[in-house]
Amino acid sequence: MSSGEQSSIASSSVNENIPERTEVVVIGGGPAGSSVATLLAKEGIEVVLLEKEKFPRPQVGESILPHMWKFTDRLGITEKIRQEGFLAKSGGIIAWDGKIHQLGFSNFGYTNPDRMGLHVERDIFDDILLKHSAALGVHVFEEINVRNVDFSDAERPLVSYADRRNKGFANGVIACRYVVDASGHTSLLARQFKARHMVSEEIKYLGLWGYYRNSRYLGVDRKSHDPGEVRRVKPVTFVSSFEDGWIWHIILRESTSVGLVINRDTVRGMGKEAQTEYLQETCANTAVLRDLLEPAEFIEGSTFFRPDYSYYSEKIAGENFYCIGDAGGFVDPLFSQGVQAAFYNAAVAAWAISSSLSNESRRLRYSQIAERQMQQYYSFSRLLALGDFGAEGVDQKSVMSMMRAMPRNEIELALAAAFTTSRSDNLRRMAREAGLYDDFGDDFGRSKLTLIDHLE
Amino acid sequence: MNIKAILEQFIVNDLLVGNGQGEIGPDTSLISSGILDSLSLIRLINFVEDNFNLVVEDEDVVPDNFETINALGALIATKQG
Repeated sequence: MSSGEQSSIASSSVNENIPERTEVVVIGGGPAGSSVATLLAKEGIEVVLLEKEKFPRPQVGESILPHMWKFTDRLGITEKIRQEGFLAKSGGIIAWDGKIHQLGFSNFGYTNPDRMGLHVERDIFDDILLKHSAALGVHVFEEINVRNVDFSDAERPLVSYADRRNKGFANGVIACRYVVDASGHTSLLARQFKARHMVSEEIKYLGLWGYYRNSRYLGVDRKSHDPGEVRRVKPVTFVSSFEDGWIWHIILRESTSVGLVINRDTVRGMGKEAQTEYLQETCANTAVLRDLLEPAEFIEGSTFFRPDYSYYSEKIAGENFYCIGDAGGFVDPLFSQGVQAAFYNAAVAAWAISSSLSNESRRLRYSQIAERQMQQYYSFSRLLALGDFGAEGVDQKSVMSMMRAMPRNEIELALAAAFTTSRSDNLRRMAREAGLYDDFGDDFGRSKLTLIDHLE
Repeated sequence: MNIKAILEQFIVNDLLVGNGQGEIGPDTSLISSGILDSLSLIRLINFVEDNFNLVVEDEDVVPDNFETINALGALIATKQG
């Protein structure tokens, strides 16, 4: 046991030995992994977290909704995030099939200037979260590739890994009680169980993105601004549809993240250079983006690509494992649900594991309750962002029940967002069936959107 | 202690700790008012199962059954038959 090794703090643990036994192994140190680890460590549970990369590492998904703060409160990290000084955003402007809508967080009760949505550099954001885990006693090891988990002894799962620290290579095994898969798109366990499916054969989305310097941005006043004004006039996340998919524009402190979500076939066979060219050309041919990027320069070598946009796993929890964050499911990031889902499912998994450790006889039941709750969240995100295609594998009754139990401002924001694109007809129909419009009126959500004639 | 008193005690002492919420009564709305978020709902489901020795089925987990202590008390009474 490694209980005497309290000096093992995060990245300084380069030469430390990875313990052979622990209570919980968390695979992956993104927001899902670091937050489940932190929540468990706060309860005095011994956690080993194995991260494949060396943090900080590049990561996409820079738009964060204001519901985030209730999770950071729970983690005890609100103050550290505030001190970092990420850009606060006021909401979004969505140009979709010729209609432009503005969605302002302040219309949904998010009026505290310290608790707005954020545009975060994910390398920094994720690093803050992971360092916090280490500071609270999680044994964090970076540059460790987990290969598989042997569940043949249900009481003692064995996690096999390759230790790549110091440019070395060594195989190892940790025995534990519970495994949390927070491995992101790798979806280690879902793949191992062959439970991972594309949401639909018809939508094979991929993400293609890059970073610009000196891009102008759209402000809450719907005007285009010089990046130097970003602290004075709050930015929005700008989203625009185009013939092959949609584009995001997210201004950060030193750069701007611009990306496409498109059908895989659109860029089939293209190399990195051709992809970069396609990204730049698409932006140059799209209204508003063209003007925002006119003075900007593309940061060389900053093109990224991720092929599997939108998948789910039919099995995300069992008596000794939990799959959370992108490891359990991923949807088109149109409505910035990713980090949100990661925090939420991390909290659910932490509850289930800590309850299981204190009452073994009910651990199967805890995993069932947790799985239902986590699948609801993934399903909701899928219906919101993927429309008809998102419905595959969704228990609609269960999602309707969740919609009725959501805090009013969150469901209202989601339903307002659902009016801005052509993606969410299904979700609106379910909201109707669930009686949300009976309760709150036919205009629920929509009345808090602004339809814009044109952007200056 | 009767069912409702047990529920109230759990909600006030275990779920609302540090939440700064005021008094709750048998008809206080717990979910639509935001007093209980979905994470505390999980803990409440588990408490009900464990404490009253019953299983809350998926179809029971609708807000109507958890909206007030009275509603939840009725669900428990039905399940205990």
